[in-house]
Amino acid sequence: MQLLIDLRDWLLQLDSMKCRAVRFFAVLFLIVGAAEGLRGVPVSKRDAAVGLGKLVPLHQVFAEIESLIKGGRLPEAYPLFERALARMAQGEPLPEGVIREKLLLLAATAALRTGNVVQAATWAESARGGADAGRAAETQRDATWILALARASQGQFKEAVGLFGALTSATAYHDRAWLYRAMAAQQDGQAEVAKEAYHRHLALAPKDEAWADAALAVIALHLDASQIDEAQRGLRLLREGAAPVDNQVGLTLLSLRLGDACLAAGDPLAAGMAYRTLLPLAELQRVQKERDQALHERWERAKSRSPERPAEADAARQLEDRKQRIRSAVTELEKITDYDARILSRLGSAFQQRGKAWEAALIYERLTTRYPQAPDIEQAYAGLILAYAESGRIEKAVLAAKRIPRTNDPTAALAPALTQAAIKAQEKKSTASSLELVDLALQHSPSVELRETLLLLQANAFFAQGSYGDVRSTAENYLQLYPQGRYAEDATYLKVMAGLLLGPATRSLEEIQDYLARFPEGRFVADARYRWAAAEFSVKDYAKARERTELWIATFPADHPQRGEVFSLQGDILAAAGETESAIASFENALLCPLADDGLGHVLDELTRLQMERKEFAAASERWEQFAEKNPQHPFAVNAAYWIGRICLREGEPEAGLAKMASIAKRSVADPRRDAVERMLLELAKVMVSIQAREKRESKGTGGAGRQPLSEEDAWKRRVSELLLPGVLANAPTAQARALFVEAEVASLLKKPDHRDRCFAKLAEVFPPAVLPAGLLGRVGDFLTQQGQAGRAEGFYRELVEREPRSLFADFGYVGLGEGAWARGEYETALALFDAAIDKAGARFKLKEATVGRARSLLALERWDEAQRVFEQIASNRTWRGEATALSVFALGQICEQRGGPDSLAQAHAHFQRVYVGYRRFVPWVVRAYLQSAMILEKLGKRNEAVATYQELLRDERLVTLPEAQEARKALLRLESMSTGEQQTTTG
Amino acid sequence: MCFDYHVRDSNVTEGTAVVLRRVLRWVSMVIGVTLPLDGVAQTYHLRDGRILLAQQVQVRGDQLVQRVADGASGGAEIGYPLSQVSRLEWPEPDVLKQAMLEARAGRWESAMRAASEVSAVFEPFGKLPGSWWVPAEILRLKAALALGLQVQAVEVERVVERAPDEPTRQTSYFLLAWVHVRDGRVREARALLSDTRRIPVNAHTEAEAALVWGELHERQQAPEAALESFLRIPVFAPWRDDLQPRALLGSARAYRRLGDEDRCERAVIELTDQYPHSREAQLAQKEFNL
Repeated sequence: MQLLIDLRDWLLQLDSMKCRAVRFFAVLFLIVGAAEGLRGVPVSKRDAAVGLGKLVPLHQVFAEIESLIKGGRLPEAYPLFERALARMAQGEPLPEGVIREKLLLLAATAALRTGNVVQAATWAESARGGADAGRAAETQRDATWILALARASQGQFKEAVGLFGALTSATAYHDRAWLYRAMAAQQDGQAEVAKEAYHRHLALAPKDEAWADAALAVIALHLDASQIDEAQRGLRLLREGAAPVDNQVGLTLLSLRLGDACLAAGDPLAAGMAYRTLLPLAELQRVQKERDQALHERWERAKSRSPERPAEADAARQLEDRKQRIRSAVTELEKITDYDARILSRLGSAFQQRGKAWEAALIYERLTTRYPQAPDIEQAYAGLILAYAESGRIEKAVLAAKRIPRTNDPTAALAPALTQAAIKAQEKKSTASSLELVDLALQHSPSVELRETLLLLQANAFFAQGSYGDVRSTAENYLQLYPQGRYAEDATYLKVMAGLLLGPATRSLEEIQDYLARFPEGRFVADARYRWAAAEFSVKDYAKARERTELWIATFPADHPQRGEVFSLQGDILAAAGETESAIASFENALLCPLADDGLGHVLDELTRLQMERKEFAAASERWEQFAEKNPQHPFAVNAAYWIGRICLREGEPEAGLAKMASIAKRSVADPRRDAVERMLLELAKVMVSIQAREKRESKGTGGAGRQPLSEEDAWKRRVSELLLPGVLANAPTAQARALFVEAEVASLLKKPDHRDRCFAKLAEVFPPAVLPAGLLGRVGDFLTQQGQAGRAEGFYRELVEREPRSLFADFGYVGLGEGAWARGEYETALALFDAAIDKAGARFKLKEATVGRARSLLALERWDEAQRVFEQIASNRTWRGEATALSVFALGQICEQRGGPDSLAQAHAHFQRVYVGYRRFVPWVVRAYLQSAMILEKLGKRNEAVATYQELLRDERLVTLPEAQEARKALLRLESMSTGEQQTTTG
Repeated sequence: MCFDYHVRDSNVTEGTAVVLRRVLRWVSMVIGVTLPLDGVAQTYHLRDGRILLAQQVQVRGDQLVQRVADGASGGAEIGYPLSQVSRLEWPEPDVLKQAMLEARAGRWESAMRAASEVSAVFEPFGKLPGSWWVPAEILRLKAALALGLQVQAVEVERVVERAPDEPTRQTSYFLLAWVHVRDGRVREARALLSDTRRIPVNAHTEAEAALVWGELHERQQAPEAALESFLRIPVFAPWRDDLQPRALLGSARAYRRLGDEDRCERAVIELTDQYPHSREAQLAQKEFNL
C-alpha cells in the first residue's frame, strides 16, 4: 500500500523534475513498449504462500504486490491484481489509503506488460472513469496513456490516435504522445495526421538516433504524398548531420525515391542533387556495417544493464526495433539488382535533362565501361552518344556508337539518339561522322518515321560531302520506299541538285522542270527557277538563261534572299553574251541585295574586271573605297586595298593609291582586335615597294634628281609614319607596332634581312604582347624562335592563343607552342596544339607546319599507323615539296623499320634511300638517311651493301664532319674486323 | 509544419556568434593539441617498454625532458633521446580536426595555420606510429597549394617517405604531382599520375587525382582533357567542398578555351554563387570580367 502511495508521489516528482528523458523512461516503466510482453507468470510459491483460493486479507495481497513492484517484478503481480480487483468488484472494501483509480492504473500497467491488453484496456477505462479527488487530471492522463497503448496493441489505431492526441498537451507525455500518435495514425492510414504528429514530435524531441528514425518515417510519408519539397528538406537536414542516422540504407532508399520523384516531376536539378548523395554499394555497405556494429554494441550495453529496469528494457527494445528496420531496408536494397549501374543511369539522366552534356558523358562512359552487362545498357549508350553529340564531340559520339555491343535494342533508345547525333554532326559539318551515325542508326531497327528521316539525313550528308552520285541513289531509294513520304519533295529536289552538280546540264533541265510540274507550290520553287536559268547558262543558251532571270526577278518579291544571286547570274550571262554595260548594271543591282561572302566577292571582282576592261578606273576604285569604308572589318577590305593599289598604279597615280590604302588601314590600325589590318598592310607594303622600284628607275633616268628614294631606312620610317601615324595615332602603341611591321615587310620585299630583323627585334623589345595584334604576335614569336629565344617566343604565342584562340592568325600561336612542347618532349601537348592549329584556327598560314608537327608528334607517341597516314599525306603534297618531304620520307622509313620483319625493313631501306638520292639539298636528313639505310642493310645481312653505303656517306664532303660520319667510320671498322675474323676462321 | 522549424538557431546576433565562434575556436586550438581528451592519455612509448605521459615531459631539442620531484637539490631533470621513442599514443588533436573542417569549408588560410601548428608539434616524431605529423603536413601542403603559395617538391617528398599506409602515400604522390605541375615539370607529374600503382583506391583519392590531372591538362593547353578531369569532381565527388571551387574555375576556363561561352558563364555563376568567398571566385571575377 505504501508503495502505491509512493508511486503516485514519484509520478508527481516526475512532473516537477521536468526531465523529459527520465520522464519518458519512467512512464515507460508503467507501460508496455513492445509486443514481447512477459511470459505468463506461473503460479508461484508466493501465490501458494498467500493462498490461492484462500481469502487472504486484501492488505496482505497489496503488501505482496508492493514487494513485487519494489523488486522490479511488476508483471508477476498481475494475477494478484486480478484477484484483488475481482474481490473488490464483489464488494470487498479497499484498505484505507488505497486509491482505486491508482490501483486500477497499476493493474492495467501490469496487464499490459504481461500482454493482457484487453484486460489492461478495461482497467484503464475504469481508472479513467473513476474519480480521484484532487488528482483527477493526472489519473485521467495516466489512464489515457495506458488505454491508448492498449488500443494500439489491439490494432484499434483510430481510437489510439484520438487518445494519444488527448495527451499531446500534457507536459509529461507530449513528445512521446506526438510520436505514438504519428505511429498510430500511420497504421490507420491517416497520413496527414501522422505527418503533423511526426513534425510536432521532431520539434520537441532531442536530436538523436530515434529522432532520425522519426524523420525518416515522415520523409517516407511526404514522398508517398508526392510532397517533394518537404521530403527534400528533411533529407537535406539528415544529410547535413542534424541527427545521427543509424539506418543509412533506409536513408539511401528514401534519397533514391526522392530522386525518382523529382525526375518524374520534371525537376532534374533536384533529382541530381538527391542521386549525388548516394554512395556506391560497397561504400554504403561498409558504412552501414560500421553503424550496425556501433548499434549492436549499444544494444548489448542496454541489455546488459538491469534487464528489469523498464527504461533500459525499453531502450533495448527501441534499438532492437531499429535493427529490424535496418534489416528490412537492407532486404529492400538487395532487391535492386545492379544497384550501382542504376544509380549511374539515373544520375546521367538527371544531368542530361539539365543540358549538362559533359557531365552526363562522364557518367555514361563510366556506366558503359564498368557495367557492360547492366540491364538496359542500350539506354546508357544512347545517353552517351547524345551527350557527346551535344557537347560537340562528334568523333567520340561515333566511337561510342561503334562500341554498342548488339544491334537489337529492346529499349528503342538507340536509333533516336543516333539520329540526333547525326543531325548534330551535320550542323558541325562533320559529314563523314554524320554518315557513320546514320548508318548505325539504320542498323538499330528504327521506326518507320525515323527511317524516313534517316534516309533524308543520309542524302543531305552525301550532298555536303560532295558525293552527288550517292545523293541521287539515296534520294531514289527514299522515293521508291516512300513515294508520298513526308520528305518526298526534299528528296526529289536533292536529287535534282545533285544532278545539276554532276551534270550533264541537259538532264538537269528536264529534272528541274519535272520538279516544278510535280511541286508547283513547293518550297524550292524559287531556287529551282534560279537553277533553271543557271542550267541554261551552262549549256550556253544565253537568251533563254537571260529570259529565265528576268522572269524570276519579275515573279519573286524584292526582298527575296536569292535576288542578289539571280542578279549576279544575270550579270554573268550578259557578260558572256558581250553585253558589258547591261552586265555591269546587273552586277550593281546584285550589290544592292544581300549576298553571301563568296557571291559578294564574285560580284565585286567581276565588276572590277569589267570596269577595268572599259578603263573606268575611277569608278572601280571608288566602288572599292566605298566598300572598305562601309565594311572595314570585312575580309574583302583587303581585296579593296589590293584593287585600289593596283588601279592607282595602273592609272599612274601610285601615291594617290598609297594614300587611299593608308586611309582605309588607318581606321583600324590602333585596334589590336582588328584582324584584317595586317593583310591590308601587306598590300600597302607591296605598293610601297613598287613605288620604290619605279622611283629608282626614274631616278636612274634623271641622273639621281627628283624625289628621295625609299631605299634609305630613315626615308621608309618617315613614309610609313606619314601614312599610318598621323596625329594621335602616333601615340597609339598598336599603331606604332603596325607601322614597324610595314617597315619590316618592305625591308623583306627589298631583300634587306638585317633591317627586317631589326624591326622585328624592336617589336619584340618595345611592345608587350598585350598591345600587339594577333597578326603580329605570331610573327614576332616566329622571329624570336629563329633567333634561338624560344622562351620569349612562347610568351607571344601564348598571348595569341589565349586572347584570340580563333583568330585568323591563331595558327601561328598553336604551331609555335606546339613546336616548343615537342622540343621539350611533351608530345601529347604538342599534338593537341597542332590539332588546334588545324581544327580551331583553320591553319591558314601554317598548315604545312601544323601537319608536319602533328605527324612528328604521332611518331613520337608511337602511334605508327596514324603517323604513317599523315607523313604520306605530306610526302604526296607537291606544294610542300622540300624539307618537309625529306623529313616525311625519312619518318616513313622509321615507321617501317620499327615494324621489323624482312619486308618492312626492305621498305624502310627504300624510304631512306629515296631521301639521300632525291633530297640531297637537305643535309641533316641525307646523312641520317645514309646511316639508317646502312644499318638496315646490316640487319638484312647485306654486309657488302652496308659497307658501300657507309663509304658513300663518307665520300660526301658535306657530311664528313658531322657526328653521323663518325658513327659510319666506327661501323666500317666493326664490319671490317668482322670480315677479317671470318676470313681467319675460314683459312685457319 | 516544415523541417526548418526544427532546427532554427537561437536569436544570437550574427556578429556576436561569429566572434564567439572565433574565440572559442582559437582557445580550443591552443589547448586542443596539448591537453588530453577525457579518458585518453597522450603517451610516449619508449623502446625499452617505458611509458611517459605527455604531461610529465617536455620536448626540448632532441630530448624528452622529465622534471623529477624537487628534492633538497631543488629538483632534477631526466632526458630521454627522441630516438628512444618507438611510438606515440595520442588521440587526434582537436586542432587538426578543426583544421580539416576549415579545409572542407574552403577556409584554407585558417586550415593552413592550424595544420602548421600540429605539424610543428609532431615534427620531431615524423613517421612514428601514432604521430600526427603526416596528416597535418599533408593538410598544410594542400592548403598552401590551394592558396597558390610556393611549395617545394622536397617538402612533399618528405611526406611520401613517412606515409604510414597506402592511401596516405597515394595522397602524397598526388600532392607531389601537383607541385610538379605547378613548377612546370610536366613529364614528372605525368609519370607519377600515370603509374598504375596510383590507381585511386577510393572516391576520395579519385577526386584528388582528378584535380591534379585537371591542373596538368590545363597547363598543357588541352582544354577537353582538362574539362573532363575537373568535372569528375562535382560529378563523382560532390561532397568534396574543398575541391569544388578549383574544379569549377578549371571547367570555366576549359569551356572558354573550347569556345562554349554559355557553359563557361554557367560554371562561373555556379562558382561565385556557391563559393563566393573562395579564392577561385575572386580569380573568376577578374578573369571573366564580372
